[in-house]
Amino acid sequence: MKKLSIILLINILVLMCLFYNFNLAMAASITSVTDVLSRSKASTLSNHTITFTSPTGVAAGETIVITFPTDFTGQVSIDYTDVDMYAATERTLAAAPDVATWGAVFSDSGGTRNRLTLTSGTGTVAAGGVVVIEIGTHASSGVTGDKQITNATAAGSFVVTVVAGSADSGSYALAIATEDQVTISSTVDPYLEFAVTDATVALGTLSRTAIKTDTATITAITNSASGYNITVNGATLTSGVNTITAIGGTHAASATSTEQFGFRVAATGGSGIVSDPYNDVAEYAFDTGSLPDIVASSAGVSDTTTYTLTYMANISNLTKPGSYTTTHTFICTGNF
Amino acid sequence: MTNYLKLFLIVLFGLFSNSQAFAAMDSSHYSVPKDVINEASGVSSSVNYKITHNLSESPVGVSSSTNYKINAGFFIDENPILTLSISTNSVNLGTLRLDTVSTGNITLTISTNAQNGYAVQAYDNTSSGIENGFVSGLARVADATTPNIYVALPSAGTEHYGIVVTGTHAASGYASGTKINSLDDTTLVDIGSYTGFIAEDTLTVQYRASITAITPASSNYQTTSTFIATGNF
Repeated sequence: MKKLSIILLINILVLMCLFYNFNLAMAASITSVTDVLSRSKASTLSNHTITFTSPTGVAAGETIVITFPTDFTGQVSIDYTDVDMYAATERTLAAAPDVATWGAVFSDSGGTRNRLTLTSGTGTVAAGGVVVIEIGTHASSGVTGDKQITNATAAGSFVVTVVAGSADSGSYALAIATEDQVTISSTVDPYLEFAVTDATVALGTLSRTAIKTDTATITAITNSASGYNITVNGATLTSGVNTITAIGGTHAASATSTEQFGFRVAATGGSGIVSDPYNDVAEYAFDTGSLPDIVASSAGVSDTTTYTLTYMANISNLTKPGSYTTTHTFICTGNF
Repeated sequence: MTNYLKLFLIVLFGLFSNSQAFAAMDSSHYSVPKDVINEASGVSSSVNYKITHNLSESPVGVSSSTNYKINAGFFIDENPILTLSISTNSVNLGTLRLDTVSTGNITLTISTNAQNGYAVQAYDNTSSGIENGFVSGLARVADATTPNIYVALPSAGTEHYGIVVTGTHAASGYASGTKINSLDDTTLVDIGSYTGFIAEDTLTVQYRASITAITPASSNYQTTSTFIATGNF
């Protein structure tokens, strides 16, 4: 009898050990767990996109519980509208479970609104199913979320636990940093480049019967948001006390046997434009009454604009003989 | 002593030794969460399971010296860990030039015990390039490329802004620092990743920018990069 008691005791102990180990073997760890934050900085609001695989799955009426560390805090009024759940399909969430609708509730777990419990009505997660849970303003299914979870107040590694259904559980870590952002700053200096690339205008011997023309070229480029102005200053063609009459502030066609001096301007490239009265494609002007007179400009940043100035002179029967010359000075001013 | 009593004692020993095997050891310089006696251990896996197991481990412990520390012959049962730190929170590229590519570096340091490692990603708070802080959206130093489309490093005088990441576990698209990537405010851009445990892994992020003559003038070009580390547990 004594031997039988010992044998029975041993058998009981062995069976206890066997069943104890068997029960452990039933629990499974969730796998492939990630949580992508929108911000990693301490004490900063952040979205969470939590993804995991549940080996056993979640049965009808069971829960998925995500518990953040106590120093993570859900915003006041954070609720199911701030949560999306995807498991094979997008799941409908509400404050409480109802048939296929899952209940999503935030509660205190040593902290403030730091635990999310998703409770199934009749919905399930299949064994081996991938679950994606979004918490925050990116939870856009149904009502778009407007609340987030505030990160821990100090930098470090923080453990989040996940319990899925009655058998699966696990944990993962969040990296909270003192700073998660880098501000990059730089300066771009004002830039203005201007050149007279063809500075000689030779009209030759003026004629009463033929128009005499020649061209000059200037270029301008700037990174000024308000662009630039180019002005001209100088006199009409002059020989001692004698001059050739400037056309004036209204462009006019070239007319032989009429004393005229003026120019017109054509622009190519960039965004520079020619000002009135020098912008006509065929007629000329030279407004000596407005000197220095604006001949071209850009309203903003402009790549290289090439301005071609076509000078023209005519004489009449009364024009005095002589060597007529003039110098026109162009100035480009950036509007910074 | 009868055979039955011997068997009983063996079972008792087994039960108690099980608890002793998980006794912790501590001193002012180290902590050993578990020590076990081992004869066989390893990782077993199939389609539906993966288990890290040990059986009757041999006496083991922590050995360390100035230059090493080893956790020998046993499993350490520890919490998930993931940390991220950034060397500085500002990079001033100075006055950008036509004849130079301006650069500035930061260093990210990541540690994790996640069995599948980590990934670091980033985004900017501007939709494109570095924007004029006073007139957002109207003037910018343009991106070198589309986020996550890696291109060869632009030369000086070509307007561009972007990042080049180097480090043992930098994203492969950077091609060892020979390709550039750009950030925007809607795309998570790959910085680097690793697929196992790692301590103090470093990634160097180099910001690069240059301009043309018509890059709008501004003393306040600015953007902000946000970095996110995710553990793959």
